[in-house]
Amino acid sequence: MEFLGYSFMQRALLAGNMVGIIAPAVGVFLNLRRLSLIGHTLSHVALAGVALGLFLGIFPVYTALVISVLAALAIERLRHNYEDYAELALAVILAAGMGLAVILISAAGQTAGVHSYLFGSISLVGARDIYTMVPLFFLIIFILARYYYGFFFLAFNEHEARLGGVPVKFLNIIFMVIVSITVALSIRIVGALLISSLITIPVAAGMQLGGSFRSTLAASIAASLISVNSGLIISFYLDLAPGGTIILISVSLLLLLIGGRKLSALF
Amino acid sequence: MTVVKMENVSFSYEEDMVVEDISFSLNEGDFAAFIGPNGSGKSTVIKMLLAQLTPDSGRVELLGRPVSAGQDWTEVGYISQQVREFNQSFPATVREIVGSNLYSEMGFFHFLNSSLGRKIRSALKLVDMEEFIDRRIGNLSGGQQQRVFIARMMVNDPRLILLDEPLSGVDIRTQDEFYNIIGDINRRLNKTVVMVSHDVNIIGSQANYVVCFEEGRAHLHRADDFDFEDYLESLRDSNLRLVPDHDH
Repeated sequence: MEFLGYSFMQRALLAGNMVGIIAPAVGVFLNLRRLSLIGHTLSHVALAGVALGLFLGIFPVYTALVISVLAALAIERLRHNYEDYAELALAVILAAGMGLAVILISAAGQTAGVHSYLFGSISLVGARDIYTMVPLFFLIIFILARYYYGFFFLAFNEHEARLGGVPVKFLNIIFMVIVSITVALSIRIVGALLISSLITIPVAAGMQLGGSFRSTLAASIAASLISVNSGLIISFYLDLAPGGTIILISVSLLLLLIGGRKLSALF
Repeated sequence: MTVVKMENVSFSYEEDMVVEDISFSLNEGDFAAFIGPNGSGKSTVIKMLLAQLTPDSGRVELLGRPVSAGQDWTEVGYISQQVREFNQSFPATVREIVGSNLYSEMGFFHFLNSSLGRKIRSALKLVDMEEFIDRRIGNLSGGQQQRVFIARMMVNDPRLILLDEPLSGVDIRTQDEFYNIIGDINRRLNKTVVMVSHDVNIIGSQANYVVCFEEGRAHLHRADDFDFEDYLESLRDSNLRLVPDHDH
């Protein structure tokens, strides 16, 4: 438990556990709606936000939050206006985000700072990150609990949700906002390139275990917390990039679960 | 009371007039079967009743009020053609699927509570699926899923039930079961039912009205006066006219 003695490690674990809860919680709904590409797109846009912050000298998490919320609202609009080409629209936004990020990074001239946002960092999670994350973490949990069955219905069948009394348009917008906040907050721990994995892989693991929607949600969060905590501790001792370590552990967990299910089906 | 009322309703997709000057009304407890060939306007009328389409002219009223997208939709139960086209590996139990339709009755935090749980149970009892409440939806047979969706529709105690060809691709036994359950709901609970179907025979045994669609026009018949045999016979004989000659 030596790692707990370091304040940077305490902050990394606190931030990691918050992200480790909201990423798969939002991810369950996102993946079941087959919108996981949106997470991937937003992570690239969030990186452009980070680069903008570095370029302007503003705290990058703030700019990442603003830019990704704006992009999420744009995506929600495009998703309805170009229903048949939604993926194309996402690919365009993803490319634009990445292009903008690259230009801003080279203009800002601090490639070292960017490294931690690309791959995640445990040593650089500061007090300001925690102050930003805590209220937003509780806001997302509150929204998910407030509209739980609405998001469930949207995931099961968006077209029929309206007749069930679900305010579809409103919830779609709220949902995109919490997805974008989750992505922007996760960038610190797992890095922009691996955020979408934290949104999808623990959920894939949870779906191996869960019978009901609720138990799938719980299992996804559990898989994510196991991966995040062990990943952070391992990367502390072996001095590895935390993002990559967390993701590889969650992939191993997923493969173990799939293997276990195959085995139990045999006997 | 009048549950469905259409007055001189017309609708066209661009130049193509699909519904032309339709008028009919249905009272509480009526069971109307919409029959007619593909493209004759049946589904368009259903979409107008659901406020998914707005008529070019005329009036559409549900439960005594002009239909609007913002109305209380829990009064209307609906099962669509695509009802069974969901992700079969979706991780949800029957309780969660049926319960989600009670969204507007949930509290500030939208979760199920014990009183809503009782409503779910009694809706499942109606379709004889109570013991499946904790089963995963994708693990049920087609017929069982069909009944779960009837329970989901009934959990809100709707006053009007709209069924848009929900039986495409299910076997005869499942169809029979479906008609019997819906017929039962219609008679015992006095719910108004509108059902689009190609299956003239079976629908004739449940419906008290037949609305016959032909090239955008619709005509209401009392089911007792409608000669199903003749209708079917002429459907078979004619390749040119899908709806045979009959008096309106």
